[in-house]
Amino acid sequence: MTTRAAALAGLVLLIPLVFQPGVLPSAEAAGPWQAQVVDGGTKQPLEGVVVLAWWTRHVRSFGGPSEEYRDSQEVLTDTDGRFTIESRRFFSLNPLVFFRGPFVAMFKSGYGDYEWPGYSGSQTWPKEKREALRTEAQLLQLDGIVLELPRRLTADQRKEYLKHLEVHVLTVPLERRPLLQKAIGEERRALGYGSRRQP
Amino acid sequence: MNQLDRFVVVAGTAGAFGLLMGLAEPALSYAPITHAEMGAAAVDRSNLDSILKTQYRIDLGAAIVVNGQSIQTWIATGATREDFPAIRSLNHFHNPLKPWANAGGLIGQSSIYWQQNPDQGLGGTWSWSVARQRLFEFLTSPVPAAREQALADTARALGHVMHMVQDATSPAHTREDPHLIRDGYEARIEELRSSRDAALRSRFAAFLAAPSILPASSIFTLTDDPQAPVPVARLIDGDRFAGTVQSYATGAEAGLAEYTSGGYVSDDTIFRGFALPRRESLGPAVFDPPVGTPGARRYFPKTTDGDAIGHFVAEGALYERLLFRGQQLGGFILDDNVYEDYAAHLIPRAVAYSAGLLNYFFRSDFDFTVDVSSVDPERRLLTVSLPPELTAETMDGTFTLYADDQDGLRRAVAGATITTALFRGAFAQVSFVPGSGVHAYVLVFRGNLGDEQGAVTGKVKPIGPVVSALQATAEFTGEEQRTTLTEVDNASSTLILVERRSNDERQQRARGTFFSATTGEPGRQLRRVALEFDPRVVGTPAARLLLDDVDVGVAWLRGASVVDSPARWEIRIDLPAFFGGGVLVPNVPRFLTVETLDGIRSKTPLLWWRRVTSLGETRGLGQIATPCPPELQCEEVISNSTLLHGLVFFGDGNAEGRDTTSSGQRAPLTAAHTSVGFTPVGVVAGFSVGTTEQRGDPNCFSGCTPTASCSSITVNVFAQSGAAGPVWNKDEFSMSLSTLVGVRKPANACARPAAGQPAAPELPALRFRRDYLPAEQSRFQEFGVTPPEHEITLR
Repeated sequence: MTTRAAALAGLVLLIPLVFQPGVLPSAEAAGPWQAQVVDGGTKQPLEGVVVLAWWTRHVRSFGGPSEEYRDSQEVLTDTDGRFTIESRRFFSLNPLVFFRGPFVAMFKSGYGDYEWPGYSGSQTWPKEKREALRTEAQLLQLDGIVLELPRRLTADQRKEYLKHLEVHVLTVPLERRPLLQKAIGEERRALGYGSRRQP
Repeated sequence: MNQLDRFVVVAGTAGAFGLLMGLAEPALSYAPITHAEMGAAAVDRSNLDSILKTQYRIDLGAAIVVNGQSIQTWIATGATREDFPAIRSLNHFHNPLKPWANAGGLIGQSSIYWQQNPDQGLGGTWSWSVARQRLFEFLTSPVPAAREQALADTARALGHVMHMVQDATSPAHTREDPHLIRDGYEARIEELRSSRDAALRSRFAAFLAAPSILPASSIFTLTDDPQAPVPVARLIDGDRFAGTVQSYATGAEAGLAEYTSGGYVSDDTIFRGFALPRRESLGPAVFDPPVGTPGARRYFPKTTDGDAIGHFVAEGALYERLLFRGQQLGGFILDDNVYEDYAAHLIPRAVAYSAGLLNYFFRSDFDFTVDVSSVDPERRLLTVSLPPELTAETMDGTFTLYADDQDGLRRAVAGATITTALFRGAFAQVSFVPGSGVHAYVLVFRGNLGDEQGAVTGKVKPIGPVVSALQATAEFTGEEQRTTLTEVDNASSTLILVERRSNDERQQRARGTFFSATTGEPGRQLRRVALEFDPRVVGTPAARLLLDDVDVGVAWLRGASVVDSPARWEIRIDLPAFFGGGVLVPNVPRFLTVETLDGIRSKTPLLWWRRVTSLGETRGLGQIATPCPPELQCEEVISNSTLLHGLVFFGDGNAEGRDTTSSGQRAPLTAAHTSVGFTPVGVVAGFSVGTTEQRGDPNCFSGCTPTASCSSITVNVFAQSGAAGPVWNKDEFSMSLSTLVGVRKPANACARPAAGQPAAPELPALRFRRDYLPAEQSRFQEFGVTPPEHEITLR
């Protein structure tokens, strides 16, 4: 093969790269993402749950990819506990860049991190099917997904979840998650975080 | 090749390369949020929360929220942001077998240098020196908001520095294995972390929570490397591992990169490029799942040369073929089971060493006190001390005292600076004039702390509620002693009747309460309450302290008694003698000392009865007076006298508890204060405090007058006459009144008159107003507190 031929072959390969949706893996690129949120104990729909979904942009390097915020959306569940996150599609010509998401966090005072009880009955599913549902991006594109928020009754449980939640949503700038910050602030005050001595 | 060809080649190569990248599964280092979660776990594992609460007096500790995030989350933020922009991660490698200058690979610098790089460029500088500088600003910035921001920045910088410690537990980062596309170990960890499958996620959570040894404090030795002078570098590389089995260690003094590089392999360095781990450390293969089960794979454990790993390497698809071809090292791969067995050791280490980093950064052994100077009570004495423990590091630098006002504004205190080299067990002092309205003292150190140059540490001591002990009463607990005496002197034909009343000063009790101007429950602020005796007292005098009616001995310490929040105090004495020791050494407690949770001590001088007696005496006398004429030769005299005398004891008085200065001079009644913190007030037995009076003549029946009657009175109520007018004599009062009626008769008509029943006066009650002396007032002024006004009754 001549040099020119090899180069042309490379160009041919470049074309699908530019247009491939795969810079964001296709399963994560679709959307919308939706579910119903219920009380883990009563199974009744929960209204007013803050749902934060976000996407990240990664750049590969020899030390591993960096990660930065790309986009996010905040919604509240409706009276029936339902929410919908709009479709997203991200694109970059930089071959070292890829996108991930959505990641999802939920918060309602007195509740913990959401659970999808489907896994408990899915032990007999084929491994590929089970693994395909391990991320929110895949799970929340299915119909009829019902997520359960477990009750967190004690102050210690609620503080522990707040601590976890703060780290979990770290990628999203504070100003891009006003609903969640407001709810977290109210929860902190309810848990007695309001007063402190200045250093 | 022409220009077009070159363009096509470059573009085509880029396209092919890019396609590879784009189609590949996302490949991750320890993912940024994995770093964040390890950082948050490290905070839980470290002493940081406790240090923020106790040393820096932040009530919420690591949960304090600054700009919408807790300090714990700011650390997690730093750990996450260290990978952004991506070019920073080129500096996250360290091969412990190479000189540090070359240990970072071909492109970047060693992570050890990067940790301490004062100019990191893209993404900003978030190295150790920045963390130190921001900690200094947290301690010294005047405005609270600026201090909070500085604390958040300190936390973020530590998160960045911690990131390199965590990367030293990734085999690829310690074995020069750049992984542009994918590192299986790190990818598996991220898969577990981000999974919504509770079973997978719980495995990651178990790695985070697993116990692991914290780095030993002895690990932090000098580096002698100007590019990484701070011993924190030793968390990554202790310069102990030389690539041999003999030098490989897994203990608390092993650098993380040494532990990881010598004990684990990465995807592209399986028994290649490094002497350790070696093929010979593998044990017999085992199948997992058991042989014959679908998906069964042969795994080899590592059984020697460090920690035992169950799934150390797995057979690859070509294992048998390569083995057959004699390539002993070929055919091994790493898979999820291997990665998870690695993670079970490496992630707990990452968390523990990250916690060790926080502990090292915030380490501090010194303490300080600000007390009233014993030389000049209006000055304060700053004392900085190091404990004698071997672990206490020498502090060679400058200690500066700052004071916060009620709004939290912080200023350096003039004159309260000490520059010294403080060794363990030693202390240094300086005296200074205090300001007013101090709500907290903050001592800040900057200098060499052990082997670390440019270290910063500090300690905050809020004044908190100032609690005082207020005495309300002191009273005798024994029965009043009342005696009468009849005496007949036949020689002088005198009948003397005496009544004496007194109380036993050895048995008393003082009562009072605790007071604070800023809290309704001062008892909750107390740490210690104790009786303080004269320093010359030998042994333990028979005095007891009761708090809320519970006997606590001579001292109460929070937590050591059932009493939690005392409101009332009582001191009971039942002494063998009020004074003892052959000299006038009082056995009675002089002070009630109170110390608050914030370490503010105050001594309340106690007021006691020292003695009180009264006397009533009547005399009847009938006697021959020979110098007079016969018709006046016999005298019949009836006299009555009463005496009331009392002494009080001032805890802050002189050695005997009296109100005298060292020169013996007494202050005029117009003086603002005397030498004790009490001023008598009111009326004693009908006479106002300050009365000094002497009138009448008890000797009116002299000569040979037929009849006479007279009276005299001498009164000194806590005062006595002085050359320039009355002066205070606060510890003593006395009143004596005498009357005399005499008749002279002929000798044969004379008889001894009947004397009436004497009546000793009632023992009086005394009132004193608490008079805070200038030294005490300056203490209240220092803290911006108005001293409480109150009176003490002695009865």
